[in-house]
Amino acid sequence: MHARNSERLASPTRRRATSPSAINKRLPARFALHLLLSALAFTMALPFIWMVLTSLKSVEDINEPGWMPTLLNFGNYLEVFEVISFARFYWNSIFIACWITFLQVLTSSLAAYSFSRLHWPGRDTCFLLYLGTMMLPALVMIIPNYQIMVSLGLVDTFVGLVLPAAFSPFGTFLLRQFMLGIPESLDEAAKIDGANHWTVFWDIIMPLTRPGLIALTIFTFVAAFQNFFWPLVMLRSVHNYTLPVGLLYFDSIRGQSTHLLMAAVTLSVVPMVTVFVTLQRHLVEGIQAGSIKG
Amino acid sequence: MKPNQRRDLLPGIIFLMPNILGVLGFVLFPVVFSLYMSFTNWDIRFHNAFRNETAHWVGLAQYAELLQEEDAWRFFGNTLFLMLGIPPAIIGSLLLAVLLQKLARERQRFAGSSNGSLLLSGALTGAALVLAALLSGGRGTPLFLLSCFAGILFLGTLAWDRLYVALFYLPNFTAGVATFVLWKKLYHPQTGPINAALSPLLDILSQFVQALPSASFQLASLLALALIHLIAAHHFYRLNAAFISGEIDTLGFIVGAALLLLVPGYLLHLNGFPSASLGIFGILVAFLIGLLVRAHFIERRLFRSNEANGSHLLFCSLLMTAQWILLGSALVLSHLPEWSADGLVPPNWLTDYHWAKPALIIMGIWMTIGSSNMILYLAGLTTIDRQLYEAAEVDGATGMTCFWHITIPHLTPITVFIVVMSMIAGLQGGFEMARTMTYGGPAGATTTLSYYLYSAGFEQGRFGYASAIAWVLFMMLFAATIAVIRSRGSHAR
Repeated sequence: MHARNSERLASPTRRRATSPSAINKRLPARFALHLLLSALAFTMALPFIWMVLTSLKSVEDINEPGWMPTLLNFGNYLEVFEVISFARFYWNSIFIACWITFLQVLTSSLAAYSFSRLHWPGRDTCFLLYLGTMMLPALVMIIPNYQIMVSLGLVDTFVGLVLPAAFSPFGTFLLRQFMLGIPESLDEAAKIDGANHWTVFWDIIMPLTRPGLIALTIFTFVAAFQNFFWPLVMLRSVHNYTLPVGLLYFDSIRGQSTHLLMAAVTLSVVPMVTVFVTLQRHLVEGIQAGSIKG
Repeated sequence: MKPNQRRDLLPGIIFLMPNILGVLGFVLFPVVFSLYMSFTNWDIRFHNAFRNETAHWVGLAQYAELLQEEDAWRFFGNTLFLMLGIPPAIIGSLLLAVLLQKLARERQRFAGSSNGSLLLSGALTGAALVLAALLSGGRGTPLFLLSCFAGILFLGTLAWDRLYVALFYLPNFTAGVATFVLWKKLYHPQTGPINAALSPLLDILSQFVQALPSASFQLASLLALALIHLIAAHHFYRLNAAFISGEIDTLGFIVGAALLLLVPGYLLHLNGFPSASLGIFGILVAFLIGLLVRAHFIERRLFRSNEANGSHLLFCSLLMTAQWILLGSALVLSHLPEWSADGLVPPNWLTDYHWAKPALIIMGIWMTIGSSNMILYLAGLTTIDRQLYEAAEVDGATGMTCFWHITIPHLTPITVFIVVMSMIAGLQGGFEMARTMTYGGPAGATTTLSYYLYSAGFEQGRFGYASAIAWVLFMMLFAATIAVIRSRGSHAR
């Protein structure tokens, strides 16, 4: 019944799409939609607006109820770097996040190749078991992992921060989803031409998995950058702190100076916003691929 | 073994090796180790580099202690209370996605023709807003905020839905210690902007309240309470009908009924009728056990689930959230006259025992409403065939009917996925907020299970006990996930 009705309807719809008078008739409705959505978006953005404005206030107008600074005091940002080794926290966070991302993308793509391209016996059973480990909550692993790091003498080191995060079943799952979409005739042809597995993996599969690799890179980088529990537990000395732990430390020593704190918060949000704005397009694809249960 | 399978075995293992070794070492081994630790009295105060008294096997003692610890139950309650923010956030995501998709369709329809009139009206409205603020003598702040709003509107008419998606998604993307610290300052009772904005509004409200007779508030409060029972009764009736007609299975019926009757039961308990609530509870339990026995042994349809099951349960949990909100507003309404007698003051939010959890829920909704849930819903909406709607329109269906009977059923698989993920995150959640904003306080009001695990493990050093908490949490997660996946039935696969 639906099909018959829709056939009958298909043509008027198409005509409505192109007729300019119909577009103008819908203008008020469309404008109301814009108004509603921008009001909502504005409400969502309010905390950020307050954050930036407050970070520009000087000490004198910090207790004023108004949001606007009387003078734009960019010096707050410099002061943050003077009060605390904020640059060091930045560097630590970026360094650690880069290593975690690199190792995770590398190991995951190798494993995903094995799970999607090579037909060894028992592969699918093995993959199911492997997927099952995704259900294990991170909270269960934290205490024994800490004990492992204590025994290895890796507490308060970057290696200890990177290692447990470098291997992820989720990354393997995500990349396998992408690799399954590549036709297998491609690597068959390459193998006939005498390519070995490494060549097929590196020269054929990896370039074609690019969207998946980018999505995984964003996910991993952001998760590593924002991770809080593990660095909090692992790090002892202030010069090793990552940005979230360092920010908490800053809050504990200078939390009363709201303008400085907000400058620090703005500085820690900026890398995320940059990643988001530049790579937004790839994110959507990754989120969708990650939600399709294999 | 086929020859090409054997040929692939060695490279397969080699490619897998780096990852599988890491997962074995840092995922699987720790999980087993954690289970072992939960059966010992492992404690870093006695078991460390300086003082090595070996940990002893204590069997289930840690679990027994955990179950007897009253605080642990309270913290579990806190965790569940904070999870009440999940349904509103999911509904919000869905509504945002619907609005955004409407706009995206307009954009596609628009492709090729000029955007001029819309741009013009956007710019004009923006200019009018700023002008209105200027003329009303508003000082810096309102003017600036209005021009921000006008700017978003103007850019929105340029970039269509893409700008809004980005703005909605940003709070979720940046969520972390930084945004928690930001909200701590927003909630600050004296200097925070939230209370600064609330206090003039509350002044107006208190004058309004004083002008009205206090009996009317008692009446409104009673009405809200009556509405809670009405919701429960009405939907219990529908649930029963669905159960009798075989639309949902026994398990779905029982869980749904439990969800619906939770708030009325809590109300009875709250009003100090322990004997009455116990009696009703006993009757209900007996009734449900009877149903279970009949369904399992006679009709054999305990788990004969289908797609209606999941949507009924979702609807029940929605109604339960509505009931909780009604209960909260009934309480506020009944106290409003006495509070406003000497002027209403905004709450102390994070430092107030009763307001700390609602404060965290509000922040959580801000953070998750535009999350990947919204993006998944957006993707799901684009896959629904437009012709279904057009056909329904011809048959005289209104927008609301279409939404209930076309949109919602088509999005059910996505909803199930989102619910499972949110439940997993919710049960484990709350640690970062508690650690950065409240330290679990005031008086443990915001301590969730994950923060309890942290403080038991890393503040007190009781690794055995903390591992037991982790495993209880894990078992709850496992059970919840299985239950939701079962309730979605076979149609999803």
